[in-house]
Amino acid sequence: MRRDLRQQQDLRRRLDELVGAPGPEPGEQVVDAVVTTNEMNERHGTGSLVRRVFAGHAGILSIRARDDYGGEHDFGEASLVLHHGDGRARAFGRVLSGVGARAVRRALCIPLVADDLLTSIALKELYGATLGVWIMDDQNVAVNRIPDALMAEFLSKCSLRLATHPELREAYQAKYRMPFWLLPAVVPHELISTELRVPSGPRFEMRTGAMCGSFWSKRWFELTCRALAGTGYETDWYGNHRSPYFRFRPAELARARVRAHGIVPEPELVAQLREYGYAIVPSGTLRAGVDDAAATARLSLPGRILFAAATTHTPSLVLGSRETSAARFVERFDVGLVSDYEPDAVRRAIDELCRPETQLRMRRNAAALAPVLSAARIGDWLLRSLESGRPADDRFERLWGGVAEERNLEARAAP
Amino acid sequence: MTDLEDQLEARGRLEALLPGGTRSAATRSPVFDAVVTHIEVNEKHGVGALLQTLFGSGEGMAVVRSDNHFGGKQAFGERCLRLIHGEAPRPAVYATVLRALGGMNVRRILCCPYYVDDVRSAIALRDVSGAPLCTWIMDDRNVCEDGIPDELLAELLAKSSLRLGISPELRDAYRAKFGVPFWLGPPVVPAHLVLETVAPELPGGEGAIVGNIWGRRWLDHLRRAVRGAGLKLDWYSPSGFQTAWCRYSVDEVAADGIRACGALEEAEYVKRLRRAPYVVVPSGLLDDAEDRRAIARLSLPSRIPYVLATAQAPVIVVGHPETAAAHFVVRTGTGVAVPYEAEPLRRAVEEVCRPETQRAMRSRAARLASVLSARGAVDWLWRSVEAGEPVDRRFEELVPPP
Repeated sequence: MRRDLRQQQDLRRRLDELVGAPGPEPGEQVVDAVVTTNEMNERHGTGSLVRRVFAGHAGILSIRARDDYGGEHDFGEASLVLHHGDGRARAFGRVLSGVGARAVRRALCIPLVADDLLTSIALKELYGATLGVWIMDDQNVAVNRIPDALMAEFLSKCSLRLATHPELREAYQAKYRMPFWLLPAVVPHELISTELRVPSGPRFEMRTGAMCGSFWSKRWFELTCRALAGTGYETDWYGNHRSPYFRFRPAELARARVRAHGIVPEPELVAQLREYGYAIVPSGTLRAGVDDAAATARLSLPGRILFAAATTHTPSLVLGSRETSAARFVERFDVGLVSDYEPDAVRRAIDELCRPETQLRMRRNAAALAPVLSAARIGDWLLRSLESGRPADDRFERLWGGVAEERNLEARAAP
Repeated sequence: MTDLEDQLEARGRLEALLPGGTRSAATRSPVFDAVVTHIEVNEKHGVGALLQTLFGSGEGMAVVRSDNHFGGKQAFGERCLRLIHGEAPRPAVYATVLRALGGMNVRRILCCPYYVDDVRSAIALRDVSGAPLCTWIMDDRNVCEDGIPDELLAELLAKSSLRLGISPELRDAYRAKFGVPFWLGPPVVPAHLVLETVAPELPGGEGAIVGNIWGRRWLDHLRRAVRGAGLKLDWYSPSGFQTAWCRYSVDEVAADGIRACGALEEAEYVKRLRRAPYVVVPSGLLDDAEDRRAIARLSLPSRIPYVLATAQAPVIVVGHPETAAAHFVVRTGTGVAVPYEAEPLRRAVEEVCRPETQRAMRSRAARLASVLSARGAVDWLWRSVEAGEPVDRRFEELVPPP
């Protein structure tokens, strides 16, 4: 028995010597890695935003975990699809092989699934990359799709932790006791306007609404159609009505008087948005057992609200609970209203939004926000922040902090 | 598929060809505990002896080492890997570790670092496996002695769930330098050899020198002191008739009163230790010419706990009073410390051979013995790793503070 064990040890030792030769040496190409869950394209908000932030940046290696859009990907000098799911050691091996002769200097992860975190941890450990995270959607605090231990390890390895809005930041700070900073979903600089202009054309007169972006829940879509059908107003939808996740029935859209225009390029969207008095943003009801995306709604802020505010100053109508991040944003900055999904309430909110004085007030507030939300040189800002481990400046901290302070002052001044 | 993935898969196929009919259940298990150490795990040196005491033959263990000091001789562990990184860049280190691991799953890791390669292997192993890591510092290679760069060791310590120092001095030095919690993990002794009842005093007879001598100067000074004191001592050294650092003439040392006995079978060794009224442990001088300063100041020679637990013999540490060895025997009241001088050594022998001193020191050694027993030590180690701190204070209370 003992001899057998020795023989096996000898065999293994020889085997180890055969396959245990030193690995390849990396070459000279230095890259920055951006780790996302799926393809970076214009068919979803994260894709648009990431492309916008790193527009013009050379030496980007894009790494994603999977394809959800038929492989349609237009980002980075090179891209890898690294799906793991078969253990940590394999993940390291896959990253090592995929990155090949490159050296990764910095890595930014925008996580949605565990694979994103594993890839990022491997980049950090293998290359000593300075690692940062930009959380746009919660997948761990309100929902638990990413295990806590993995998230804790990942966050602890990040030199810089960013979240798109305060609710998300506070949730992660509270859970993981690590500092987070704000980087909102910034808007293309060339599309930003500071000139105040209230629309006056037929769409405004008819109180037709614009709806931008994607639906995160089939349930929200159904609620939205039912609500809009009862208002008597028409809606133009500029967004992905051929989602990889849900099927939208044309009859349902027609009953709600929703015309689906599909995804339109951002400059064209801006030109269209200028004609509307309000933009509809479906969100969660947060009702337990009813809202299937309550956790998403509570902690996610749709970038389209910021886009509409910064580019055309269009007020937003958030449908759902007042406790969602979207609702909190429009109320905090007074750039929109919140309504539940009851048709009468939605109609009243639309009427209120289209009153001239409401338009003027909200558009003025949006115009004041707009310059801060500019994406100009934000990629540099992000990489500089990553290097120093804290934001390169406090423009985004002041954006929210300043408003909170004003609110406090108002509260003290109130009789 | 890439080269690396190809190799990992090829390795899996090759492993599947290994004979499996006579393998134990643990052998078939794809999950291993890993030990990362600098050289072969065998009985020829303290680290190897301690690992064997803890883990026996190393069944269910993968052993990663960086170098060979004993011609590759190692009968320990189911998987033995020698990983040499040299100047390889970091990704290459990980590639080497991944290739070596093949399809192996690692559950827990114990690293006893000495060389830079040990540290690099342990870090990569921890990162790719996600397994909890314990770093057990047995010899200093950073605080008093150069060897492992600060940044690398700091990374290893930061990634460790549990950090142990073999002596209070090592523990305190590393805790102070790196600002992370460190705990005492002393060398333990095979349970079946431990004497838990007080052995009768042995006021007469010849003493013994135990262990390898780590410096040429230590040996030279010891020979002079023993000759001057007129003592006759048997010298038991696991590495045989030479130390790791210097060769010597058996006849020449015999002329000084030291009878070199080399390495004995363990049963015979313990039998002889139990007949010795005292043992002598040479240590460092800590003077300007000291060439083994780190070992002397910070390392606790495993032979001291071994002697105390198996034979309860009073220990005379020869050398500077500030060595870790001297601190240990003085603070535990199990021995004395004297310089390398004939007259103090002679007086120390007289003192420890007095019946009342024998009784007192042997009785204190007996109290230490049960704590120093390896029984339950592995369980303590892994449970402490899981908890991120010692699960009890048995070792922390072993040595009274100064």
